[in-house]
Amino acid sequence: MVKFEDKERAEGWGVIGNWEKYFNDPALDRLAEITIDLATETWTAMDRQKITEWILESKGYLQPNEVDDFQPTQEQEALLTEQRNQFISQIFQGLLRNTKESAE
Amino acid sequence: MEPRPNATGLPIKWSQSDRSKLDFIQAMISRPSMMLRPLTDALYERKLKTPEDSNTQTANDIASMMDQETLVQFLRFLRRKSQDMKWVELQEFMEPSSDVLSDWLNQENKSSGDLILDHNMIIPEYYFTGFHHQPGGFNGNQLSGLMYDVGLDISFASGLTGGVANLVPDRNYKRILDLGCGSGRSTEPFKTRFPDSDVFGIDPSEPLLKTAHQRAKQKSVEINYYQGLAESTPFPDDYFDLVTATILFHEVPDEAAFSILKETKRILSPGGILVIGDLLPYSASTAYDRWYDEWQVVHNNEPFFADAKTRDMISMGKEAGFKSIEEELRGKPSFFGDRKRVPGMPYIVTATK
Repeated sequence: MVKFEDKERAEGWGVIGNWEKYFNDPALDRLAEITIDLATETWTAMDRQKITEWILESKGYLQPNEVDDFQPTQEQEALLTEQRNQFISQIFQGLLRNTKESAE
Repeated sequence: MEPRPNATGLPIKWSQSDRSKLDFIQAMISRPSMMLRPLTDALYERKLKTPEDSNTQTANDIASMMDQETLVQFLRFLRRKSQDMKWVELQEFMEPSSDVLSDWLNQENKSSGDLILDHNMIIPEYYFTGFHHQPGGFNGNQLSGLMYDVGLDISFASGLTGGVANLVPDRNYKRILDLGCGSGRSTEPFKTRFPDSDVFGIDPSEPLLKTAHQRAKQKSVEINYYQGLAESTPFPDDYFDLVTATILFHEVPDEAAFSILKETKRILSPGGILVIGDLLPYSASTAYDRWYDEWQVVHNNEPFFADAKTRDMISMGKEAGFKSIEEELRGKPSFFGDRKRVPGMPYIVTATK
């Protein structure tokens, strides 16, 4: 726990990469990291799938590296953003449920 | 819609993997905090014995109440995790193209202003802190400046404030100097607002300055960038009529802050002004916001955060020799919270020579 004395420096200052623990059980830190990393990969796959669908819908075939090189239009970016935000809201539903109980 | 994380105009393309990961990280930086901060606030209020307790509690009291709550632990974890993810992904994006990026960074563009480097300068120890957990800090390798600059667009998806450029008094400044200019985000707006002024920036980091120089070319502005310390600049006495510093002072210890004030007084012309934009001091914040901002100190490697927020700038400025010094509190208590921010910086200090 950080102590707040004026000018007193908190433990861990100036240490690059000082990842201590955020949860009471350090195993939860590892589990939480795995979860977020998985969520990132899941979103990357969802994004990739959407792009693949767009290209196939417009042309009916894919060229090598076409998905990798794809640059979305502004309209497409807006659609991806909406989908991404829904995804994040969805995966954090459980956290919101727990925290509402905690708040009560 | 969040802006594309490519405002720097890099000469390399984003692959689908890079773009989608950084999009996700950008959303992770903003959305969980948006969702969880109001719940954190509500939890605190529910735990108070009486509403009036919030007026008498210290940040330590609040830490005792809140630090063991699952909600708080998750919020802190998510903020730190997304920050680390940002750096990892930016490294993975840039390093395969380091040759291309290095060539781009080393281009000389005379029409964009001077880029004056000082390979003999001695950089103080505090600068190697590794602020914000950026691997290698601002000076770690040739790509550090680009990583920092592109990282700004990811961390501040709603846009950067442009520093103090729109807040300084309207005068015909002959020469303007932006201290701790970094990659030029706070410097460029001066050239837009005062096109007839000679605009300068100074920073210790060569990678950041090279990034700033390329950005100046892309923005078609002429800015002279110098490598050096704000506490010991290469400029003569009375040289500038406006000197500014945007979110610099919370990155330096008290001793350096005082040296910067003294040096600024030397290089300002009589009647010239220093305008500092930074975070609100703790004296203007609630204990709750102080407790909330603790995340920056411990988890975002901001070792001088508390120094800056408890610093008596008025006394320090008078001791440095300024004729007058005033502070203006413009913002809501927590600049890094998810409350609505005022346009520009929340805390302004104006010192006159």
